[in-house]
Amino acid sequence: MAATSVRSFLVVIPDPLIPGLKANPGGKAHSAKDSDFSLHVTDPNVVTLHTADVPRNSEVKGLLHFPILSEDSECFLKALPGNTTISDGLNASDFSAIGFAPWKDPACNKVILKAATQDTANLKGFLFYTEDHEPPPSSSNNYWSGVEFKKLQFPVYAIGGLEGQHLKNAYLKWGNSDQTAEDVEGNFGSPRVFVKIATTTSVPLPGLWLFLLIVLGVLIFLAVFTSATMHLIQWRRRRSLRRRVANGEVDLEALGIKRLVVPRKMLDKVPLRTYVASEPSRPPSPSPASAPQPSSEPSQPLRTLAPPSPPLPPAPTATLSVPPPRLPPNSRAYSQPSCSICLDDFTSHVTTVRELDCNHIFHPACIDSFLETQSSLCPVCKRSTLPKGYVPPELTNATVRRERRLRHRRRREEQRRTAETEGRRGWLERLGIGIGRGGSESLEMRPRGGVQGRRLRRATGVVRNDNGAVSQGLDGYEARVRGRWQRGFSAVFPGFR
Amino acid sequence: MSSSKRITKEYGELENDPIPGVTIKPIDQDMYNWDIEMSGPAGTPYANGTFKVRLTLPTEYPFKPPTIAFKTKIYHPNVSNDDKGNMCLGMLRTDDWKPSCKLRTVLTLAMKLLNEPDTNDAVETSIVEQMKSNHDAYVQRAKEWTKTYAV
Repeated sequence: MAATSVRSFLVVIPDPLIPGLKANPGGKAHSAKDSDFSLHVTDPNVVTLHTADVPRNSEVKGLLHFPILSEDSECFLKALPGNTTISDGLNASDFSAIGFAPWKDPACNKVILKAATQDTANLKGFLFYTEDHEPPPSSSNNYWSGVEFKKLQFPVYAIGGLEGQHLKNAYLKWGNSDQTAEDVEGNFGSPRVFVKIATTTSVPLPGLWLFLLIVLGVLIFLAVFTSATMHLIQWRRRRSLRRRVANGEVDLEALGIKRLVVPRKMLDKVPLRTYVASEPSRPPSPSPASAPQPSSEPSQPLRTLAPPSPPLPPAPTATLSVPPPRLPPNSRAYSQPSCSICLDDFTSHVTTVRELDCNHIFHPACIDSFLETQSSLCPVCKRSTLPKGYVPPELTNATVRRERRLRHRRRREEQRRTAETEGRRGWLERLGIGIGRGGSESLEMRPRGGVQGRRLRRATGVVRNDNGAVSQGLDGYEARVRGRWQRGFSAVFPGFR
Repeated sequence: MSSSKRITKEYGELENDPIPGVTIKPIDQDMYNWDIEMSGPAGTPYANGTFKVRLTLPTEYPFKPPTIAFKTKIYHPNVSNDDKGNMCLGMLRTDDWKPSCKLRTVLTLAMKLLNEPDTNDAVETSIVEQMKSNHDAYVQRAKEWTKTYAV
């Protein structure tokens, strides 16, 4: 594994050759007493050139040893000052050794490494130092080319020039001398420079991975934050729309924003009556408020024969033309002869009909399934059967979006219209012409036309996409066209289109 | 299902009192798809032509609108010029459809469109352009198509 730190200090090795002195028992080396040399080099200043399968969390340690080259060799002269002789006694000894040399030209580097493997029996590793770089270049740098580290049995590390000089001086002063020194336990022997190279203690994430993780984390945070914000915004918009619907400012169904249905509970409040045919002699008076529909439209019901309202039974009926005693209880006379959903005729005094607020009557079975599943608008006149300010139980984001779009478009049109009229006025004033009535009228019609056009396109889209199966409502159609991914996306980020 | 009852009823009415120029083929097993032949009204570029039309009724009929598709190619601003040949009728839009509308009204309106195309509510805007700029060319083209496909 890669080295994280290099520590160096002096130790005293037993030297039985010195007579009269108490030798270090057991041949063990101890730290030197009163030594002022110590070196600690950490990560950026230590470079691992070759790991040689050194296990993680271990230490490569040994006594510093300069490989003995033939002393007149060019490389030796380059590495150490003249007339230096290597006499640390570590060659051919049993002590663990760490080779040490400056990083020179490729030829010398090879020679030095070869010498190191040859002259020590127990080489644990090699430590190069750079003479011209501080800190050493990274292990991938071209600076370290020329030596095939992979073939070496021992790990190779490098430190920077400053520490390298420091270590070299210590080696020449103590590690290579035959002076005597005392260790911490009072034994005497020869001082030597001890080097301990610690490999990685934990697995710090490589820079790139860490960077990617940070980026990923930031992205996730942003996504979550955006999602939460958008959910909040959508929630507030839903709430606002709900409020405006309840206040009667927005009529969802009339604007074509959302198809509403009538819940069963409200449907039960719509009165059921027994149908009584109106007097045939009485000509049906066409209602002026009837929708502009083709001729086949059933005529509007007549209210003239009905009692004014149920809570007032004793109202004088003498003025009415039909004698009431024949009418069954809770019945009314209607001019509408058939149910416009199934087209079947009602049977007078027999058929039970449901009467909507707009006085149109239907078979309960027909109208109930229509109001419960299709629309809350009367199938004949499109008047809503829901009370004003009714808020549907579910207001989806799609509804909110549609309402917003419509509102914005209206506002834009309005702005454009005012801008245009103002602009035109300026123009026309210059030209001395009055504003044409037709022009402003067509502009007024535009917003509605725009909506219609949009709706028409959507409607034809439905028709073209599924022949016959036009059962999908607007929401259903949109949901079906959008893919699963898109649906997931809009669930996380509501409000994006 | 109330839809089949109503469809049968409407079919019966149309059979007893047919719309001039509109022939409805008998419905055998599939009452939701009507094969109709419309003859081009005299005095229009579609005269003498017989146009096959498919009327498709949704299962939710009359709650959902039917669709009209021309199986015979026709050069008409309100009929889409593709293999579907959808006819665009205002009352057939999902939002504007009323269950009280009868098929008789729908077919009458379709015939009326053959008589006089509605340029304000067209699918094929290019034909509208042509009708406005060069009406003779439109008539010529529509006649050619009628001759080629509908006679």
